Amino acid sequence: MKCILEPAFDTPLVSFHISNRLGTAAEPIGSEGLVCHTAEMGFRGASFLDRNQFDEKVDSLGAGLGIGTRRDYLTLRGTCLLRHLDTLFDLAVSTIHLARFEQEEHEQLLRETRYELDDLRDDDASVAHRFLNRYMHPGHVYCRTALGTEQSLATITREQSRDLHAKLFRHSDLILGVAGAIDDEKLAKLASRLPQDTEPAPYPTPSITPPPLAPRRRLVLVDKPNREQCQVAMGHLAPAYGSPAHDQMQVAETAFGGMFTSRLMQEIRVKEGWSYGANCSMNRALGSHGLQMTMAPGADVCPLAIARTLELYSELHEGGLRQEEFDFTRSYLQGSAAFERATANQRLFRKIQEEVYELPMGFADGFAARLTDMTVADVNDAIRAHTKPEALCVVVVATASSMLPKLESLGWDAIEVVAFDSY
Amino acid sequence: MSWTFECEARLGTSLVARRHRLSNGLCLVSVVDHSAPIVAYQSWFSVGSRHEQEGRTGMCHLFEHLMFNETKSLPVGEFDRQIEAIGGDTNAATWVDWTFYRASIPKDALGLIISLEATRMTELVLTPKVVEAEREVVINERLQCIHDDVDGFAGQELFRHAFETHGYRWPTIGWMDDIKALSIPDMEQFYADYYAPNNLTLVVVGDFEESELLASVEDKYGALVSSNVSPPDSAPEPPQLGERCHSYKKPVNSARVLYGYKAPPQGHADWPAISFACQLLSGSASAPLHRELVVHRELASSISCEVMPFRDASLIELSATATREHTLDELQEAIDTELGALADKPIPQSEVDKVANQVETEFWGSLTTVDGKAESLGHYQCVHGDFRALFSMAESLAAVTAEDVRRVLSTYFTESTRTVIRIEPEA
Repeated sequence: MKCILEPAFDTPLVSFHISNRLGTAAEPIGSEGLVCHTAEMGFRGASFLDRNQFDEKVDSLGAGLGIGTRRDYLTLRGTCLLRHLDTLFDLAVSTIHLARFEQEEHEQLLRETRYELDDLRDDDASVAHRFLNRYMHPGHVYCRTALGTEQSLATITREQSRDLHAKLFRHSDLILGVAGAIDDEKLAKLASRLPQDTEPAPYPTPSITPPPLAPRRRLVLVDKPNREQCQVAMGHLAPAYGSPAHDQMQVAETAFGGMFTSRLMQEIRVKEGWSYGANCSMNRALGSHGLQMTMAPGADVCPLAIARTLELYSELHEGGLRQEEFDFTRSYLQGSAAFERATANQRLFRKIQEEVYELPMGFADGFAARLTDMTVADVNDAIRAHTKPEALCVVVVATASSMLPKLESLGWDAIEVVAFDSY
Repeated sequence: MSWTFECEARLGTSLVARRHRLSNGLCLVSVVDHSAPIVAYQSWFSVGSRHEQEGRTGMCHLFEHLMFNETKSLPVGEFDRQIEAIGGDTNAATWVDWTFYRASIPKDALGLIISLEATRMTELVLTPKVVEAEREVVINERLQCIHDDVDGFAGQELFRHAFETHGYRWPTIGWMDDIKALSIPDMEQFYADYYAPNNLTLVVVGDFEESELLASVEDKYGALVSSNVSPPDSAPEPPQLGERCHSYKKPVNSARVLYGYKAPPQGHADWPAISFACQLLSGSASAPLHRELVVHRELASSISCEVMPFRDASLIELSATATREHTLDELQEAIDTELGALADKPIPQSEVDKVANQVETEFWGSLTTVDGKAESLGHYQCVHGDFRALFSMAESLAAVTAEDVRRVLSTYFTESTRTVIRIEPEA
């Protein structure tokens, strides 16, 4: 187990993170939602406490305790007043080692996840992201839903979940991080409370290599009635975090849509006023994950906004960045680095990511120095290799009957219309 | 120096917040925090949508957008370009009582942001081209946040029906027809009236030396002229004498209900107890409304309750989303039953202790970052006229008793003073 301490003395709050090295990518095909379900089951009764007693105990401390699920890892995170640290930490440990997995709680959690799916469908931006993730690169483990589907949730059994739970938090895989007013001795005492007696065989490592995908520009029109405005999300896979290409593409992504002065924002929002926001971002993961662009134009200008974005993206692919654009973006990224490590929690988060992504210590902080050595030619080589205008998957949440005729002419290799509640 | 030192207060274990005022009325709240080489620089103008008038709603918000455009000395886009060139980030927010502009900058850029912010207070240029492009952005923002967002729509309708005379009755983003009709002369008058030093609080938190900050701010803002126009008070709201209920059919998946109970201003003595009661009702997994409606009976997928932190009397918002197996009628009946039962019986001390811990954690959580500190101080200075109200609020919350909670539940959570917005799926 790896232990990390980020001291902070300005407030009486303390946060701890217990991370593993197995995330939703490990789910068997057809069992989407299993990892989230399993992780959450730890909070539905542990040790001598049933769900209500457990909630009562955490809440009585005024604390927050929850689990975040990522493609490659999970993080159990607690935040509390320093005087409650020991009690909250013991509760967190109990969710890892003493989860009860009662059938009734298992069934209720599945129902609650279905309610969550219902609620998600009332948020168009979430719908767009969910469908983009599904259609961006079919067959890739990162392109399956972490929350699950109606069908996959129906297959999850309590036994399957309990078996997985035993393997999620193997002691030798754990990373314990604490940010707050404690010292190394206290950190060691906390670490000693994570039992080492059970060390099951490791769970099979998922293959995070995406399958081949023919480069086709695809439109997925997610049909939702009476939309006055459209949610647009488009993207394709990008290099894995930690690779030199990811560093270079981070410059490209920022110059294209990561700042207010970036190309996409200037063209779609400032010049045309078509959308409140127009952004580009890139995911971080062990393997290739998404580079996506998002915007929310009114239904009347949606085809124009998409056409212009496709045009801009093709221009980026063919022409790359100008020297002054590269210089500006590099300056922005180097200057903004201070904001990403301003608090103890931010610094801790970066160190935990370095661990789970198997990167050398200081990798995140070293980005500014790597930028100094980077040239515009490096970035433009990466742009040519890793931007794929011809392979973009474009998801539009809109009313299909009125929007489809307006979008058909934009030049697609494939068009699919799906109902917003079909996934 | 023409600064007057006014007051100071401890912020956390090692920081001090201090307030100074320039002779032109400009207020400066500063906190020196050397923990990271960054600065939060925020400009809080005491003007929000409550100061607008019928037919000209949305002015504050549209104007906030326009402030990022051309000035006499900077072409369009130059403001953002200079901030981003050094790795900084800017944005702004408008609500009912205030408009604030925030910049997060590396410490070496403090002089730059002081100069840029002071300049756009007096040198903004409003050309038809820029105004129309920004108006289009706001129209699309409204489509996104209200027309096609069921929760945004429900919130708009709640305030529209809960208030008859007060400026809280229109949405901060404004009515669509008003946004389309706002004229450049109106905007110029608004700018002259409200963007004046005596209507501004600067909040600066981060890695700098106070003496240098004072000198730089005085240098750039000291010559600005005060405005004679004081913000008009909204017409007082007449008492609500009966429940108002409005139902809508929308293309949504889940039915939901939004209650708005009349509540006192944030400065009222009962406000902390109401805020405390909201947290007690639904602010955690073990809170009574959450436990009964979400966990035990599965009537709702979520439920939340909060009181608005407004200068004038406003609303306690209680919202709940029904699960697929249950109707809004079932959900509403259960909410009313639970609220009634809670108001009728003593609140256990353990519940009060629990919420006191939650409130304390939340208080410190909001002060973790320099931006968070600045935002908290700016809100209280702008709405209450004294940033130290932030700390007295924390003390008042810590002193709330079980009897206080029971009293505010029975006093304010009453059907006769509430407005109900029901949203159900179309057939």
